[in-house]
Amino acid sequence: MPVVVKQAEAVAAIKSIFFVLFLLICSASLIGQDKKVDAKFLYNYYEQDGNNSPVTGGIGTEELNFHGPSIVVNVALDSSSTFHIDGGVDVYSSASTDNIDFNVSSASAKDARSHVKIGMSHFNINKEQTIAYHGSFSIESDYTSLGFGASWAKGFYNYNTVLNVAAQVFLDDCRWGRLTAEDELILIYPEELRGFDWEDEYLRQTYSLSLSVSQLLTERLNISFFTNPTLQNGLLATTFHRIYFADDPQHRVERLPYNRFKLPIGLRANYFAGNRFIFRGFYRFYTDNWGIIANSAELEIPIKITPFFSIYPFYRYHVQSATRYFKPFGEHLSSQEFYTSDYDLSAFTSQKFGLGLHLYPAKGILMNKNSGGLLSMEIRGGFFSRSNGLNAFYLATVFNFGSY
Amino acid sequence: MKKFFKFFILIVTAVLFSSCAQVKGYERSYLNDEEMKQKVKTCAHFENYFQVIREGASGAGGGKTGGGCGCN
Repeated sequence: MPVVVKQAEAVAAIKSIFFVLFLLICSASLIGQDKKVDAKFLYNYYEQDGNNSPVTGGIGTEELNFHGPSIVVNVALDSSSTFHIDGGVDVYSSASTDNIDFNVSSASAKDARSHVKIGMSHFNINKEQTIAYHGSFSIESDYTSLGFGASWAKGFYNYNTVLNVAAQVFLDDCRWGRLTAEDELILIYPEELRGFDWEDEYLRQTYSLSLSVSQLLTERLNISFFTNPTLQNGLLATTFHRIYFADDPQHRVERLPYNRFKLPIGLRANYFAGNRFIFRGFYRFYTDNWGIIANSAELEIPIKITPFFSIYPFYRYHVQSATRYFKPFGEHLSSQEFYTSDYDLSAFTSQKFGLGLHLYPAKGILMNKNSGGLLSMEIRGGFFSRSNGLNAFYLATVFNFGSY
Repeated sequence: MKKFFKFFILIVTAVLFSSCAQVKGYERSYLNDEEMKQKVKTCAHFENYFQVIREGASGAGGGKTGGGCGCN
């Protein structure tokens, strides 16, 4: 893609940033007149580097920088109904996608993803239940996604047991050109492979069901079980990923099946030990019809320095097997029906560790009696490392503003 | 695989039926602590987002499963 296109995309992305922020502020101020409003300002940073980019067939840089500011606004319409709106813009630069085109800077070398989500929730205290629904939309240079979801939560025995059922649908379009108002939307292929119709499908549908049951077991222990079966149909390969073969000098674009069923199942358990230590445990088993089996476990230990200030170290371990369609650079056979060299789908172990700070005083941090102020804040950062050499650092912050 | 699910269902059933003794409202001072909430912390949502992308084995709601390309 020529540099001028990249500039046009950047301009379009900046416009969309202001549009989303404008929409959020207008909606919140219109709806929130004389209402109780709280707003969370989030900022996320992520950087990674590795040497297994699927854009270059499983070898090559995976360097990426990501900035993700966003805002979440909740407006209490009355004692039982709350309006939610959130949105933001993720801006990233990727050396990997820069190699879609080896000659000039590519469409996704710098890109922005704008996203917005609007929803309502209704709480019925007598029935101990909450019903919520939402719609969402996100767009980036080579991707648009429309989402819908609804959830139902029901408490039993004064919330000793809580059952939560949620469903979500995502309708995605993987073609490039919306942000630059192209006449024709197209799938992006590596520069040297254009001119062929490698792929007819460009839509993707995701149907997700989420079930969870949480239970208070003792005065210090609660536990929850969850499952999140997900079905995907449509284009699941990424068309600018290159594949190199052992028996054919001509490389191609990635091909993957047009459906995938994922089944994670797991539990969470929180235990308050003594007066200062809390143990938050997580375990998940995962399987799918592409042949991946995985196990993940995480432990987070908030240490309460004061009743309203916690420091928490955390550690996560993940191990997964490879999909049957994965092989490294140059090891696929051209006779295969499906092939990928995306190391996200390979066999590896990953570890994540870091530290969080959470400040949530009962009377807020910087509060004005009439207009409210900063209620709480949280900062969390860590390192993520995969056994195949990908390393990442990230930082997440939340500032929660509101009134009592 | 089937054994795992049978075991999991057994554990869930056992926990739910063994918890007939309710924790009263006035006994929940520890359970009501902000750090004891079962939901994923707002600050940790972003980790879920990039883990869904960087680990092929993950659920829905982000990254390559919807709501973002995650193809870098």
